[in-house]
Amino acid sequence: MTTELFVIEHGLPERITEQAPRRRIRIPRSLLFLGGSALFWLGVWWALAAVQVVPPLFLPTPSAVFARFVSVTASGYADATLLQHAGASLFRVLTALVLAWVFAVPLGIGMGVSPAIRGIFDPVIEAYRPVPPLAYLPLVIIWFGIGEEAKILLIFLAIVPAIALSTASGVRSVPVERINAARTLGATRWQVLAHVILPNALPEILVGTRIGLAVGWSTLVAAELVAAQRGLGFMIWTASNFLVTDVVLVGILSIAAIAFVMEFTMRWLERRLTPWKDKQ
Amino acid sequence: MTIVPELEARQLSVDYGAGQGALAALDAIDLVVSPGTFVAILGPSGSGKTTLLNVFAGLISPSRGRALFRGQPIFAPSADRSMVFQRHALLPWLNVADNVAFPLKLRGVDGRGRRNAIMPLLIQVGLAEFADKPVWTLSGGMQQRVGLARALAADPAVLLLDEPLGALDAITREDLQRVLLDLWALSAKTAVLITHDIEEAVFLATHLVVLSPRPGRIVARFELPFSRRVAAGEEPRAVRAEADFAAIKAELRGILDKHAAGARTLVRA
Repeated sequence: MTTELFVIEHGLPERITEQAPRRRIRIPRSLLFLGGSALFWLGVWWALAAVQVVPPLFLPTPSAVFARFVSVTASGYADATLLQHAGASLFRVLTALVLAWVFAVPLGIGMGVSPAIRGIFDPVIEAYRPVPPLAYLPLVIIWFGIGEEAKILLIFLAIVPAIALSTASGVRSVPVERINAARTLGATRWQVLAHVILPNALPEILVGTRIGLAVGWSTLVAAELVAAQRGLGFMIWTASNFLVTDVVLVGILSIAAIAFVMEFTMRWLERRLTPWKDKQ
Repeated sequence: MTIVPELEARQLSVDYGAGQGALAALDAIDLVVSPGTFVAILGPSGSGKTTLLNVFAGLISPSRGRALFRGQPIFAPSADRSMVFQRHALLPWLNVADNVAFPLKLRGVDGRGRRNAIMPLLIQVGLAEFADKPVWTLSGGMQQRVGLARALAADPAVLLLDEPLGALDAITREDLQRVLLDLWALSAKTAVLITHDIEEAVFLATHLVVLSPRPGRIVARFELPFSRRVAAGEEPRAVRAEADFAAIKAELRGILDKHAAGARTLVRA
């Protein structure tokens, strides 16, 4: 919904449109679909488990999984509660994300500004970006062992290309008029970088962060397969070794739920921080 | 009595590329822009108008000849010669006030000083009540007002106007021509406008030069009285309706057509 203001200036009206979201309080259609879909598939799951197409050992009922969810939350599985497992996983991914930001944002700026830096790093990043982290996990273990650093490093490596490449593309997408105007207003090269190029690249940096976070989160299970004591990936792996399928399902659903929350938080941040995106 | 010109081009030529594939954009331009004048450079697209303005801004170096600002060679952009573009030049993440205050921020003026300095400018361009609006919520015409106010906030000696009204609808454009004229007259600054709109050039300019299609050469020069008269209080609509105004427009139309036809003949031969 938009409201229009009229300004009388030199005798003629000029229009500015103002965004004024004034929604009535009601459940959005998308949320209804989401709820409906969840209920439908829960029903399918229930039906399949109830008629025992597969033995309950392999496919426990939703209520059994929920009961397990409660017990893992309260008393834990494999020496840690669900919250502790999730906390360990989140710690790894978020540490890797912060490190990746510190490394990849300056790198991406360099790649966007200087053809030389782009020439050096672009082929390397483009070459290893499509390789699944599981493929170079053995190399990371040989070089960095099986400690916490190696796990964080693996996730870090998975996140870096997304952030570096989107930062570089954000930097390159600055309209030349915007830079030239700033220069004729007295901006030095550093001021152009700080006040024009960086803010201009922010929307794409945020998109890169969102994609990087998703990639990092999906690399988690791989990182936690190796000698972890805690973490959702470790919990799933341990449970699967003992055929405790309900814990496996609790772990998988927790990973999905956290990924969902992260995705929506990032999208909310994007709208919040860069409302001007695509509206220039 | 010698007045140092604000801008000068002496036998100025610009080629894009080098050797066999070089493309001549401007050829031996001689132009003197005196303080307080409003110079319009009129030409079809591809006549090198933007190139000439970019040379004066210090964004492009001449291939041959010289470009001078107050007698000194131009070698880099500076806030002495602020440029206003057709679009994409504002900072969409800032509100109106912060955009206009941007040149002051670059100089390290504090927040309070910035606010005080820009208020008169915002009032002058009719944006006072929109100071806190994000620029991306404004219409095209309002955004160009922000661009003009911002360039003036840099307190330049010369305003370089790169078709600032080129993307606006006819009514808004006429409106903003008046705003531009008032700003020029009140600030007593020098302005160089490039445009391909004959009416706009005749209305605003005290001095008008016509460029031919590529390579750009000056093919006509005019001194015009209309903008000074409007600045002195005459009714713009009446001035635009005068026979003289129409006659100049027709003459310019003829010059542009002649050179466009010349270019076509050249292509055929």
